[in-house]
Amino acid sequence: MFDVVIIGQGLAGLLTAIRAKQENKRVAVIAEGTGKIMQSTGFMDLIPSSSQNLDESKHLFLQKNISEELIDQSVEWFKALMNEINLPYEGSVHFLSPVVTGAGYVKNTALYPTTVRPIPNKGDILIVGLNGIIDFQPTYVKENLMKERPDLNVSTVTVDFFKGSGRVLSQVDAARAMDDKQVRARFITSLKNEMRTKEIATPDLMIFPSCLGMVNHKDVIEDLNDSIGPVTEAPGLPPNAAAIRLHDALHHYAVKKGVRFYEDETVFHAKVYDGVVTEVLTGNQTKPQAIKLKQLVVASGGILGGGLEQVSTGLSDRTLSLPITSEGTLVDPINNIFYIGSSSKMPWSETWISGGIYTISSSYSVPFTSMDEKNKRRDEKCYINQA
Amino acid sequence: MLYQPSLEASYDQCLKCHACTVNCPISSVSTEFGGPKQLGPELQRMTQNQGILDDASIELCTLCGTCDRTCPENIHVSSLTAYLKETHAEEVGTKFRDIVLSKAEWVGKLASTFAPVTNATMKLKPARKVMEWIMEIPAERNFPEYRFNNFKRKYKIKESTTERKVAYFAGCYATYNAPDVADSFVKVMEYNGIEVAVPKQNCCGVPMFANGQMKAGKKNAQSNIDSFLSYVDQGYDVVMTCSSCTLAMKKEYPGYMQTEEAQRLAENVYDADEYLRILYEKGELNDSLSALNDKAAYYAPCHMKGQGIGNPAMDMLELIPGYQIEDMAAGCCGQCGTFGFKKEKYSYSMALGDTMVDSKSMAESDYVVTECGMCKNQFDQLTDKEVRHPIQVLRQSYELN
Repeated sequence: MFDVVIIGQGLAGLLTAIRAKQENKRVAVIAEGTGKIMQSTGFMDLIPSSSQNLDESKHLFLQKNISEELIDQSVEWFKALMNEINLPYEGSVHFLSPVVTGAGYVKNTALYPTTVRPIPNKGDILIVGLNGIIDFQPTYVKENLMKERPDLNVSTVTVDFFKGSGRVLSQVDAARAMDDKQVRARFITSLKNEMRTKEIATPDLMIFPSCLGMVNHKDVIEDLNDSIGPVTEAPGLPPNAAAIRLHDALHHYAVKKGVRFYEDETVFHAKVYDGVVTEVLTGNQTKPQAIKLKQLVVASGGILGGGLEQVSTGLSDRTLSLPITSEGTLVDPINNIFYIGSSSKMPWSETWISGGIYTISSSYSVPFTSMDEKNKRRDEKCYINQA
Repeated sequence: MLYQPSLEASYDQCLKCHACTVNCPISSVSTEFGGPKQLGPELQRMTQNQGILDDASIELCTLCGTCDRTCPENIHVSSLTAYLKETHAEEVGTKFRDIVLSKAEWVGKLASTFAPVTNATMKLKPARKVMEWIMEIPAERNFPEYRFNNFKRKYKIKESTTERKVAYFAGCYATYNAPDVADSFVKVMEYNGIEVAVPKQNCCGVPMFANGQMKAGKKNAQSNIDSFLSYVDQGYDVVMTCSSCTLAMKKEYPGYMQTEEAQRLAENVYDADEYLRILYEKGELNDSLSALNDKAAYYAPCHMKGQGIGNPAMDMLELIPGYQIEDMAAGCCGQCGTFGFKKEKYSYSMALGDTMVDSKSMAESDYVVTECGMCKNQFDQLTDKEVRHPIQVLRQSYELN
């Protein structure tokens, strides 16, 4: 019997699991796969593809029963958590920051990891590619960046990094290699040589693919900073190291805190009695198992996450197999089921991409009720009652 | 004999999202390895209806199953890599060493019969140097000890007379190396009013699958299916203490054998702690567990995580009054069964192992708890920490009464 069962281990699922654990709940996460953080950039956008800050767009959030106060609280909570797990995030929902992507576009985001620095309007920029990392092409990044920031003085360089491999390598492979001090030192020497050959002066900022170390990212950034100058990661096509660091850190923390992970398991049914869900049935290749619960949080990521499927007759619920609306929520709401993140449709998005900030706040809005412990005193601070 | 028809439907779901390769323990320490995405769904897609395409780097796959667990599209990637291992073995042959290592049961029988000699020899440096030279097994690699008084020799009960009936699959490790785990299991079941029967059994086949010996592994699978299904038909539950054998019966047998019998057996297979947790949830568990003021670090083997049953060992151990246990939240140990005994893989094994033991919760613990004998072997190699099976801890708690 769990107090809280969460379906999905994307950002919404992992954050909810951690917060429930902080409130001493017995928590389980049921996940079909590794979650969609892996496909992300690691940025926490306010409203995807929009440059509006919270003051300009809060009417969209407030429609979803999330108060401005709660957004601020949830962002603060997220930042504190990220500090605790050694992956600090910077930025604000009130003043968005311009960051560069792996395609060279500049977008405004709310929160970003410390491997990223906002992109300036003026100054000397060096875009650094690594041979073997085909997803990040410095000249292509430059072309796009120049459209967005014509006053920048941009140079490019590609450095030898991998000497052959058995597979197509990704930013994550480069990040893991960068964790090694010697590999890093060799890389810095090659980069300096390339810069000397191409007569590139020390830039104000270097743009890298998202590969600046997996566990030792602080050391990688420090070493680059000390020997050449400031750096930023530009996350692009997955897998980005920024995203994998985020997933790994949250997952690791949740496991350490005692969250139980039922992985490679798919929920196929929810048992409902008297308008309350009491257990879910999950299955893999073998036998179904029943997991009893008091509260169910659906964080299955909607259409992109696989929790919902668009079929000819409309939306189909792949998670609980219950009748759902075109927004992805239950036709007959059930008191102890909560839909968070992209599991249901956001008012601003036809793409069903919710953005990190909405995911953080909707996750934070789940009240961990004491369904059968009504007499127990509740810590007022911990519960945000969304009447 | 190449790929199974029923596997073909699954690989087409692959979106090339990289989740498997990013999470693959071997891919994290080797860029030479093709990785699960490339050696699984991509290779399958390329070679369907065409000739065989071999990739020697498949030798590096340990069949840990992390790819299966992390795939968001539910593809059983490790079935594809297991069959590629078979293809590769048929193309280039199998080393004598790998054939020996894959026959864990045969080695266990022989080594336990001459146990004192085997154990002493395995600790002799010159003998190990010769072995490294002839067999390519690194001299510095720790070997589990073998017991003359093995579990098979001393426990002969083939029928249970109690109401709840448990058919125990001990596996090679608890049979020949750690009979105390098997004894503890029998005792813990006894404390819960269950008499344990031990049906005729062979090695589960996992070491064979991992060395491309698919046919031999399937032969073992079939004999175990026949033997244990006859018990299931008499109302027995099949309960196991080794996470790799358990995962094989739950997932690999139905996947590789593609038979109704394999599926039916899988539906009746339980990990030991998973089984006790069911007893607990049904109110049938003997809860007279005595306090243990120990501080333990739990290490979850890959083949435990792959079962998708949460963390039954910690669920059970947390019932012991005063007992403190924290999940190390560590990745693959790097021993990976026979993998870590091979010279050309030793550096990868050590790289993964070093990451595993770099754990605060382990450093602060009295001992490590894990289900897997091979993971224990890696701990024995890399640390001085004692390693216990959760069932041994439960037995201790029951016996203190």
